[in-house]
Amino acid sequence: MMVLIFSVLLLAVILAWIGYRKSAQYIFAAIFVVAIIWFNHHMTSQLTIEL
Amino acid sequence: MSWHNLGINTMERLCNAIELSGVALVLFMALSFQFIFKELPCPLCLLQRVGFFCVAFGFLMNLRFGLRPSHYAIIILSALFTSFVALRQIALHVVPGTGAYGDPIFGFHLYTWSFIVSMLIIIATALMMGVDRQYYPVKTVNGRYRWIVHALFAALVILLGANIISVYFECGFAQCPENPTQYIV
Repeated sequence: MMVLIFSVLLLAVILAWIGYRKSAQYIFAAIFVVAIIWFNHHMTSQLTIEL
Repeated sequence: MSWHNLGINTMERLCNAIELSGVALVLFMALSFQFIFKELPCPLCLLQRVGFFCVAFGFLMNLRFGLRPSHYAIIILSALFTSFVALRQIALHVVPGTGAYGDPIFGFHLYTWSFIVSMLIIIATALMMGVDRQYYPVKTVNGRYRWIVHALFAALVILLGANIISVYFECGFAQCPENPTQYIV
């Protein structure tokens, strides 16, 4: 999963570099939400903590 | 006037470049410590790296497309995310006798440094985005620092590539182990 998150972030950075601002921002927003969900999953599932 | 000409201000752009260089240095040091001290990053450590890359993405957007509040919002939200993850890891080890993850650097563990740095980023960015003159339209674009922007983009791409390879060797495509001790691939 972390490989996927880093790879999509790399894609967003490359898109920004070559000038695709909107696409880079949309892809970034998507992967940022995924990272937050992954953090929540890690806290509640992996560490067996209830919020 | 196109969006690309809005808010191009040399001083503020330079501040963004300096802050971005600092974040890139943090990410480079995290990767270096992984190989020098043979400390494999835990899942929360990797999420903090993701947070710092997201912060760097906001600075890159500022440098590439001009200074905008939306780019500063990316930086602040990403730094907040990083600080939450770091705080979570601090909370895991704050009780005496629960141990720690990794060796301390200058008295603090890396996740504590991560929390301090993300707080500093939030404060610095909030101060910087309050400078109104950077949003005023200007007629000329100063291209003097263009090579710095390309160098910073290249540095971030290399760091991201190195992290992808490192994470692949540590976790593969599966979920990363809670307490990694060796590379699985």
